[in-house]
Amino acid sequence: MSSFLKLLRLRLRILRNLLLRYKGSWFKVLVIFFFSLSFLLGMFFLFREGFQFIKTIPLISDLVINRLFYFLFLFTFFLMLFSSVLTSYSTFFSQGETDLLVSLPISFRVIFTHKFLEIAFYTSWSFIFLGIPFFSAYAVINHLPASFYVVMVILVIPFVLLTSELGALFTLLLSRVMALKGWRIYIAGLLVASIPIFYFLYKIFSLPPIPSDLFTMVRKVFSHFQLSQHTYLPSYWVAKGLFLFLQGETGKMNKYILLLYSFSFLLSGLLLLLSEFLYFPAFSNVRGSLREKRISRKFSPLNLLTSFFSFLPGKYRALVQKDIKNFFRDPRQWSQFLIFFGILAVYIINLRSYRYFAVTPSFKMMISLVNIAAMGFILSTLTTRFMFPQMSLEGKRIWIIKLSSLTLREVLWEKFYLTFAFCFLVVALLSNLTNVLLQVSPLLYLVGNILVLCMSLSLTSLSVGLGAVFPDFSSDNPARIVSGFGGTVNFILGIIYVLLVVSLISIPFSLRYILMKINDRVFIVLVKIAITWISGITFFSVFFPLRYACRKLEKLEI
Amino acid sequence: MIEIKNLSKKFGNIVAVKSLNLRIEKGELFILLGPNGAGKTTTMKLITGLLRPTEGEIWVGGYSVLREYMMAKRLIGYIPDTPYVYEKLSAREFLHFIQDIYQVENKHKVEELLELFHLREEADRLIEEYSHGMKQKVAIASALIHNPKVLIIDEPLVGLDPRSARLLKDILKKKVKDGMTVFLSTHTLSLAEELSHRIGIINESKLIAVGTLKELREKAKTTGNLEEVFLRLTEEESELFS
Repeated sequence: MSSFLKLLRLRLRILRNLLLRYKGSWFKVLVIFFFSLSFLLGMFFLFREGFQFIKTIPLISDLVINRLFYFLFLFTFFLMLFSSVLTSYSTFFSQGETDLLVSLPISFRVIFTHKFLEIAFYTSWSFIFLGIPFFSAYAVINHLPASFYVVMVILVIPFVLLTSELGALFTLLLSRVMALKGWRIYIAGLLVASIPIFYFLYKIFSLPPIPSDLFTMVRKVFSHFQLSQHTYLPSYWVAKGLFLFLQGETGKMNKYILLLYSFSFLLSGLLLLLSEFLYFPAFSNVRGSLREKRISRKFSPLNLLTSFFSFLPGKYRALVQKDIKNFFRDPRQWSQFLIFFGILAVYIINLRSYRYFAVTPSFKMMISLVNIAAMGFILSTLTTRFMFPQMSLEGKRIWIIKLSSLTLREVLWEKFYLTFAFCFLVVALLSNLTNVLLQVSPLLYLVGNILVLCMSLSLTSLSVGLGAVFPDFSSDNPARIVSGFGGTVNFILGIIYVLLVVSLISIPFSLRYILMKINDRVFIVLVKIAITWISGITFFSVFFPLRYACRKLEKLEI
Repeated sequence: MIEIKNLSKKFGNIVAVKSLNLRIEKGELFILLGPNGAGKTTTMKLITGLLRPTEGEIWVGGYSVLREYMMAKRLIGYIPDTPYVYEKLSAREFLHFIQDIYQVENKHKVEELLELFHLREEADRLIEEYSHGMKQKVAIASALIHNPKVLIIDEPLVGLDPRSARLLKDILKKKVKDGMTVFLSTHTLSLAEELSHRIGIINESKLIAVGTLKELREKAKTTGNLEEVFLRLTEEESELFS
């Protein structure tokens, strides 16, 4: 048996052992199953509604679907490319397993291929997870035959592979040919991978003022995204192949399938060839960078940031400063963090290009609520990705805290306050800024700020609390900690919370401004009721995770 | 068995190993001593092929570690200072995996090693439940599974209880007698005194002395124990540099 198959068998054995651990934990299994199924079904119904709505558009519904698919595949292509660059660096050059494999008589090509499959999995799982309800909804609405699913699988496999291959190739070349190391490789990788994402966001937010005529609107919007139909892009080949299948032109479709597979094989061949020569020098290069780090004791932005917390009592100050330094000295953490804020900045800057003063109050209200929802979703992703792993990252060093005068409960609260303060400040600032740009009514200002406060409180406590309830002290990789059971529960609960909050507050606003079914007096009463409900949900989502976390930490034995 | 010629390793501007020349024969137990950060672990990683030299070359059993790495690695068993073991595997599964990778014919080897290191009782528990010492024993067993011609060990006694430490020392003595070459790095000077055929002292990236304990005593102009020899040689060198 080849080394590659032995490594594959090893992965399967690890997976089997992981699954066996759940053997007695029926509750955990049920929770995962229930959440996954609910999520898939929820998304399925949401997409089905969307497709149904598009079908009602007279004359141009097919055109809309067509362009929508091109656009979505292009967006997915860039997102996966971005994700593969991020995961390539940490997977190819991670300490621990890679060191063991490199020390064994396994060729660099095999190690590289083995790691590449891991990257392809991490890069594509969310696309596949969301793609299943999306394409199923499309197939159900259009009564498509079972062969549609087969074609989808045939098209998606090379698409996913070649996207991951491009990311892996890019990382390999950056770390070897350009001899970039450590944080520089992150910055270079992120900058290049972010360009299409920022281009996209710019395109989305710099849409021309929306005309009242639907046909003109569709024409204008789609002409804005011409890139999605660029024939050199793999996303175009997938979408085109899919539409040719739907039109019954399988011969022409095969050409696109062939194109996808040949391009993917070409890249695989190139990677296999290069990996034997480039992987080890790149690995050694990256390892060396770990020895070159020197921390400035004098002025640095990080020292300035931590000095803001000098007012805190000794032990809390030490804890806060440690957390901030650990976070910002880990390129895996701050680089992704930076991207989140980059995206938000592009969003805010582009709000100016809207001519809001010319639009109706109902439109302003809608945009304002969509803003709050968007911020809620981003905040939910942020807190899950960055705050959930914080307690786990204390890891094997947690004994230092256990031996100190601090209790783990205090550490939990410190993380909660720090995260909450940061999230609330940033989101409140952004929310108010957008409201100023939108010139919304004072009531919407007030409601916006209440929602931001509730969401910051709730999402922070969910991530910090669940991070302590489901800790993974064995891993030093935050991305891996998040991808576990606890991280998934945190993400799903966060999304459900934001959906609930936005839905509740949307009821009175849509009744008053869109459907025009209630007067101001009833509207105010309904707003108050919605806020009361939101406060109640917030209270539960703050209280229970933190309470369970405190209990768990009290019983924690190391 | 191990030949190192003009070996240097730089990390950016930091020189970790400087112009190292060394030859270690078959059946020799060589111990590398040096202060923290002197370049011991880097040297070991270079020999095992975990790092690429900036200059120079290394041969293990006549194979270039850089160009014929697959052949060289088949001859090497490596136990790093913080060994990696798959936490979600049991000790038995982990050893079987390593056995498969080295294509070891003897199918009883895993059981023999489990017995030798008193791990049989716990062999089917996941490694994540093991103590530090037990994990260290699994790592040592995995490095011995293919009867390597060259064993490279970084701090071998860390985490081992006295009985296991004694066991490891006995194994090393026997293996060396059977012709295995051992390259070992440690801060436990008594271990070096007890086991070594030759000792190398590395300080500030340079190999400053190599020889038997007797030769090193002569070089250090002392009749004291290894501790005194070590301190005197490393002090002299530091004074020379300052």
